Amino acid sequence: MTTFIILGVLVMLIVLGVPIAVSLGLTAVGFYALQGDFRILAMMPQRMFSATTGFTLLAIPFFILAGTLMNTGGITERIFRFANACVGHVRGGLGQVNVLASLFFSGMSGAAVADAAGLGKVELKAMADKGYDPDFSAAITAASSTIGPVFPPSIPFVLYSSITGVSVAKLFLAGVIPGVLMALALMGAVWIMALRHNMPRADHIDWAEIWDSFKGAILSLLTPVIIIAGIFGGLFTPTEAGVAASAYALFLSMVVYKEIRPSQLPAILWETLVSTIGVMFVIAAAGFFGWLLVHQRVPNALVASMLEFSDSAVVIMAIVVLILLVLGMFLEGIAVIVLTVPLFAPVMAEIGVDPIQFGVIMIMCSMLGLLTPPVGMVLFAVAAVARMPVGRLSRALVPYLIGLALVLLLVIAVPAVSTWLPALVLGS
Amino acid sequence: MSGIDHILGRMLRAVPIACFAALFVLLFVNVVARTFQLAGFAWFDEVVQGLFAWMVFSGSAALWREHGHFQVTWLADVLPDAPARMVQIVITLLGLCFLAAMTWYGASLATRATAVTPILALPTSWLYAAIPISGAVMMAYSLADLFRLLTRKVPK
Repeated sequence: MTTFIILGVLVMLIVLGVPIAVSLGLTAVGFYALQGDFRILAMMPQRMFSATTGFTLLAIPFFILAGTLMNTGGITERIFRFANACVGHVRGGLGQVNVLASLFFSGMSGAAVADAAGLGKVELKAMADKGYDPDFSAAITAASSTIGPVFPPSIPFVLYSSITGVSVAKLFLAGVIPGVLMALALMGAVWIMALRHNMPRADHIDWAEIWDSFKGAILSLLTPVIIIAGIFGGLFTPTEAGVAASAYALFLSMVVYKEIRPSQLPAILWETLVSTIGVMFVIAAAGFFGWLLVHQRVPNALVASMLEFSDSAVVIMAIVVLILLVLGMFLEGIAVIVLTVPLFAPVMAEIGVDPIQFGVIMIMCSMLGLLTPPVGMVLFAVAAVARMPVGRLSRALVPYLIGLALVLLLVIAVPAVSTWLPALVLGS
Repeated sequence: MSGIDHILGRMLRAVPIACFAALFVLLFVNVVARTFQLAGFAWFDEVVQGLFAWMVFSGSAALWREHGHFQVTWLADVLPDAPARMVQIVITLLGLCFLAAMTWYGASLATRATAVTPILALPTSWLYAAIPISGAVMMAYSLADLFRLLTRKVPK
């Protein structure tokens, strides 16, 4: 009963339009205030403080900063040009380029919205110039940007790690194969759509252009190598990897490409902070809300009622994924993660699902949520850049959502897709 | 009034930007120093935690002023003007309730914290003060919003 009231009030506040952070905090404050338990409220600022100031979470602003710097500093364009040279000749050319560029980009930034808004702008312009159908262009731009947070580095994985204690390095590795599969699924979907609509392609492979654009992009493409080698070589923590990626992007864009002037830096930092702070304030409020959940033994009640409902792992997994997808339609991805990980992690442990695998499932569900109305950050970002109604864009997205959903099913059905690589590299 | 708001708005942006820049430099120097085994900074964690806290909470206030926090605006969008305004008023009041609790208990945490950090001997109350100070600024902006909602016709 308590569980039902707490979660019910929270959902009501969010639907009413109360900022998500305030909804979380107010539910907890209201719960104790109505019980006259004011002494517990004194814990709130302490919980908020410790929830936000963990060293791991400091990775979030730096992975966003790396993405912002790449977009402003000419790195994004160079990646796009190289991807264009590589797969521009395949049918549906620029659609394929779009997916490949997102995969490259995701190796440097950890945020889907940075991809959609920055790289998306470059991609949409190039596709419009070549006469591609705007619905197709916008849909594939939106869909491909969700590869970013699954392929390492990744902000949602950092967050999942800080809640569950699963190692960030393992989670990053776990995302590699699913990320590549997402890219392949999208490229397949583009290929089918391109055949059906007889889309243009470049006539031949231009080896000179591949070499030339490769020389332009090689320094940018080294970023993921620096990040991955640095983390696994024990040179730095994931947070410091974010700092190193940002410093490297700053070096490239200011010293090598000379596209950013020092006077632009405060604006770049602020743009990064706007994305960061929104997330961090939700995490702060969730710090106290999460404590309320544990204090009221909500996760235990949830585990018990789910096991009562069915003891089949398949059925329970199906329910959890369904809840995640539905929540993803209404909530921002980060909010879904901070809310549901503490609730569902015990359920998953009970039915014997590896927390690494569940992390990947969780993040993939929240990525699908970014693409679905009524609340989808990527959907809004791309619709704004493409100047297209959200409804039209979401209809155009259907074939790509099917592709991504198939990959999600595979990740759920076959644990090895996510758990094999971390076990291979880091041992179990 | 709008002059004060303008100055406060700039300050609210400048504080988190300064904290972020400082964090960037500190963490970078730390990685370089450790890699080349130049020096260890024992005081490092304390300063990082303080800067991070101030960045998050003062930034939250800046974003609050600009109505930039995540929220679902669906209800206010589909309702006609008059009920939508009622919803806005309720949202603002609920926000004030939360902020009041955050500011009040934050202030009591900050004033009662007597500990100092282990190495630099910084008072921990300086770190915690980020919460009530930001909370108070956010309350001020919510009150201003409420005043506007109650007195003026607000274009949707």
